[in-house]
Amino acid sequence: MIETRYLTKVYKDLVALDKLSLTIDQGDIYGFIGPNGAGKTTTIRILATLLRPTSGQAFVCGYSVNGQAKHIRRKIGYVPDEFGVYEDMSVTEYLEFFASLYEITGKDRKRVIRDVLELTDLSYKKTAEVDSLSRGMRQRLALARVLIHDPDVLLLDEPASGLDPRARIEIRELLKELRNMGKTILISSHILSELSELCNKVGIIESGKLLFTGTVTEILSKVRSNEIALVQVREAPERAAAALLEHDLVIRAEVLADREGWIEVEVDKGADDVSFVTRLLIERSFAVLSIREQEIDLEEAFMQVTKGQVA
Amino acid sequence: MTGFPIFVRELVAYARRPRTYVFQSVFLALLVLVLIPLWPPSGQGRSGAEIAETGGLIFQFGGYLQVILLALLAPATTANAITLEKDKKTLDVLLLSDAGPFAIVWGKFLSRLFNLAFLLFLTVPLLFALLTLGGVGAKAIGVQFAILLAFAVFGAGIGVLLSTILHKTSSVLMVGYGILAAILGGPGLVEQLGLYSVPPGQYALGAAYASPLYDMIYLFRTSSFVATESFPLHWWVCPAWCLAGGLVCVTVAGFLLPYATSIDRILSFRTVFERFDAMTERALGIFRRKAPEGAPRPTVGTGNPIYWKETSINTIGRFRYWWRANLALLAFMGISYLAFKPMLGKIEFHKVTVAVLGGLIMLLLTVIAATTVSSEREDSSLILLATTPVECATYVKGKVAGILRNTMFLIALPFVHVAIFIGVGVIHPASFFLLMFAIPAAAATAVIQAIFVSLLFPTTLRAIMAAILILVLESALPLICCLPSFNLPMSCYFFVEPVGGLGQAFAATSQGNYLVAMGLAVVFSALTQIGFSVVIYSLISSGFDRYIGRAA
Repeated sequence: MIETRYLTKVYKDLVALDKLSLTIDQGDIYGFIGPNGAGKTTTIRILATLLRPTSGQAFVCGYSVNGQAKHIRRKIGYVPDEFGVYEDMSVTEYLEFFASLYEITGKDRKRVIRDVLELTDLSYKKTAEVDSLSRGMRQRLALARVLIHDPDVLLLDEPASGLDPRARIEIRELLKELRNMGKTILISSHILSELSELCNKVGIIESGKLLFTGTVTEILSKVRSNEIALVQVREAPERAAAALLEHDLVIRAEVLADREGWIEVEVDKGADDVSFVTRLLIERSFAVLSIREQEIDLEEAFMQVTKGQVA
Repeated sequence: MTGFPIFVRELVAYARRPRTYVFQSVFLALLVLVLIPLWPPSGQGRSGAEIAETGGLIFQFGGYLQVILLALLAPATTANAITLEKDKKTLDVLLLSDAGPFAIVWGKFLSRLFNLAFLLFLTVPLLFALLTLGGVGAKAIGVQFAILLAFAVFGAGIGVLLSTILHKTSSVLMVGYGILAAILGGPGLVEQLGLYSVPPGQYALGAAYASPLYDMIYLFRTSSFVATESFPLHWWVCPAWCLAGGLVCVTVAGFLLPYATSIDRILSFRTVFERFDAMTERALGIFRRKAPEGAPRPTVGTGNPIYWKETSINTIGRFRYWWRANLALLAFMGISYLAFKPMLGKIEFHKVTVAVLGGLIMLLLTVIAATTVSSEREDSSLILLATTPVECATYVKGKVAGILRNTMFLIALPFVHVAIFIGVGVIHPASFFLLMFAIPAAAATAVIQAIFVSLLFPTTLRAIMAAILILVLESALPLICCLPSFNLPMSCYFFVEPVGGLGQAFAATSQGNYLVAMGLAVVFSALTQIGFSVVIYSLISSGFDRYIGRAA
């Protein structure tokens, strides 16, 4: 559905994108993550036909961004990081205006507008002026706008940026609905916990280079070289840590200074699980109060990848 | 940086921008390009008196040119002084700092004045080179410099004040240019309209007191103002009030700055329109049984959506009772006839009136069209349009048609005026048909040209400046190639002819031949403009995706 090959964008001395190659299949929800200035918006703008690449190629729905922009525009819905405000335009007029730009007329237009307003839960605001809406509502309206012509691909640049928790949850639920409708979505965001819940694939970009692309499971397993367990013992954690280090599969055992009785244990990848840690401690007469496997999340994966720890 | 942080910051920012130096080079190059052809060639046996006369002429033209350039540059350099801070939401941050409102406005004012003054200082070597030719004294050069500097202070001061009290940079520019044009050209217009005449033997210093341009003329031709003076004794009046006026403007801006956001809301065109709307609705309600609840806006329908947006949403277009504003315009025109009653029988009055209206049309259309894309860029709506499959033709046609519809009555004013006085028997009927070719073609060209400029430049200010500069250069075309096509005021002036004395300049020829010549001229002009518009449209069309993408 979306494919880029050695996509490069150079602004004077700045290389915004450096030979970026990625593939997003139909129905994928692709989370595009990276620090500010990494090249996320540049990539999305090239795919949205707003920018021309310096070199390389990009295809959306089989059409090239170099010369087939008109075809692409009918297939995509783009939500920029800034909401375009028209003063003195009502919600319905706003949607009617964009429907007319996509040449949707007559009864079709009315039906489509009614449907997208229902989908985005904005029906009760249809006569409100656009510039009177809250940021969360504006973002829902932006999604309503891009759905008007039923595009196959949605390009969403920071759709949850600046929203309060409730509005973020509403947007997330809306995006889930769109995922269920079979849309291919490329979404950039800083809120990584939400992306991991929503996306089946992620791409991590830094300084214009794609450091990782693949499924969420792949990145987590790639980042996690060893298992980490947290164990709480009733007394003598130092001795317990020393006892653990005697085991072949334990690479590291450190007492956590800020948490009483807790030990962080790094276990070799070869171990089936971390249950042997409990057994070992009980055998050595330590009273184990608690043990749990430390979860690794997308945020941590992002931090490690962007630090260059994963190539 | 602790003494005057805003001033220092602004000055450093200016110094770092490469365009500052490009701008200064262009200013100097323009002056040199205009003045060098006038420079007397050496070794051709010309007498000292002849060379001195040429030196005096160069000095005069240089002075006039600098006043006009200052009038163009002063609002342009100060228009965004405060409006930009408002747009970026940094004004409150500045106001909350220890700097205080006066340090802010004075810092902005002085840094911009410094740049204007620097431009003037760049010309000093040129001016003193004139001393070698004779015909001009060091004192005259000093006086001219003082007049220019004081005018720069006034222009910058008024720009900073307007930037404080108005919301949009484009509004500041329009009002600023209006004020400076009235000051520079006002005395001439008043005299041209016959409202002001000086009896023989009496002083005619009013114009020199009021306008820096006339003060320059006073400097060069003292005896036409005061018969007994050989050097202008009263030259200081105009610079004195310009200086005082500029400083007062900045001080007032300092007082108003803390309330800037509230004031610009009150003074915005939108608020003014809405108040006018409500007022006229009440006034017209007297003639109705029941006042309407509010006229519904037309829906998008199946027509051009860009046209719908231009005529239903934008500041002028959204004006629900748009025709009422035009009615007011007509009423104003009617009242002005009463004021100018003694002049209505003179053809010169009508020539100047139609020429002024022609100039207004060109200027307003250019400013409106130049802001049309940049304003969409600034409110981030252009980016949304750019990702829709909207065609170039739809976009440009919608914009041109929308702007022309919104300003339709203004465009119609010269026709209404001419039609009335054709009926009265003052103006020749042929004038109406000549204007029918001249005005629409010039108006459409101005709009399409400014839209193109608006697509190219990243900010409203630069787009407006570039569009006006192009307009000025085009208006100067008749001076160098006898092509009046792009100078609508000049065309309007020549096309308005009296009934009795048609074609006074061609008194020897028959009226019929003269009419044919005028007809050919206007057709040629219109065709030139249409051809020019087609070229620009093709340019936009061929690179529409590139331009609109770049603009977004």
